[in-house]
Amino acid sequence: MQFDSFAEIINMNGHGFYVWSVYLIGISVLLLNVIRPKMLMKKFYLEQKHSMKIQGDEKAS
Amino acid sequence: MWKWFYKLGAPKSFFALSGKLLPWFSISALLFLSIGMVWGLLFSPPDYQQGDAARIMFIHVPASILAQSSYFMMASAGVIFLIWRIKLAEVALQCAAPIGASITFLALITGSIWGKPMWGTWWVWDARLTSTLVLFFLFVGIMALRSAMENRASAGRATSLLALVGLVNLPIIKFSVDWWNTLHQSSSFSLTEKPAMPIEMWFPLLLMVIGFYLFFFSVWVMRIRTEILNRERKTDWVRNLIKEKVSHAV
Repeated sequence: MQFDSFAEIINMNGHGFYVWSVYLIGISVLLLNVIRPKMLMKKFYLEQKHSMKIQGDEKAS
Repeated sequence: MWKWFYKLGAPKSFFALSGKLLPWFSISALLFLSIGMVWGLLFSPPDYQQGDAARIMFIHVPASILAQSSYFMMASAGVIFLIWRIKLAEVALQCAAPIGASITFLALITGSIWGKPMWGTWWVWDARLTSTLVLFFLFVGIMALRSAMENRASAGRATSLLALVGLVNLPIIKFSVDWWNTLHQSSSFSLTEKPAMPIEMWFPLLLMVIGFYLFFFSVWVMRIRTEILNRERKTDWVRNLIKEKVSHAV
């Protein structure tokens, strides 16, 4: 470990703002890339479930 | 070989194979990125000139490498579509564009943040930075072109051609630091040459680069799978899959 305390980790010898904002933006971009296709897949299945239900109702009536 | 290639190009085969591989890619990506990030942030030594600001490298360098590679992979998919008319290649191209755009954005923004403490400015119209900005616009242009065209085949041809033309930008990005006097430093990460940095910095950087590639393949495959389902939703195999999913949910 290169740091002796939590405060040193946050401060990064005066570069904390730059370093931590890069990691925050980096993690956010990666997470968005995971969430977006998961949401699209979920939306697809919900739409298909809905259309199957409508088809089923039409057949029943 | 060709038989296997064409078989993999069939949406159903790709969907089945990718379903088996995806968890492995995702778990490996998570492992590589977590270890690389913690190592780079807390355990790698500070740079003798840049101090702790050099830790930005562990996000910026992999993002920059992947931005260019993802464009190359996207353009390769375009070539495959133009020559062999494999529809899956067109799907792959469309799905790579938003991921590539976001990774290029990450490379640009992290480079800008790194530039402030090192160069004293957020941005300069330097050859490396400008050509990377052009790369970002190429990704966005491909997304815009795709959404502007209704006909899938025409959109596929147009986006493939645009991706192919944009390939000329990749050597410009790579060699910009050699061809012009730039503020941006020359490449310090290589797999083929002796590392220009201590091994304690090089190794976590290698983990991050591998992690970024695994991450790209994971989210790329996720997007391709969703697009396949959308396009093939009227086929028997997708309808059976949906029925299976719905009955499991109930």
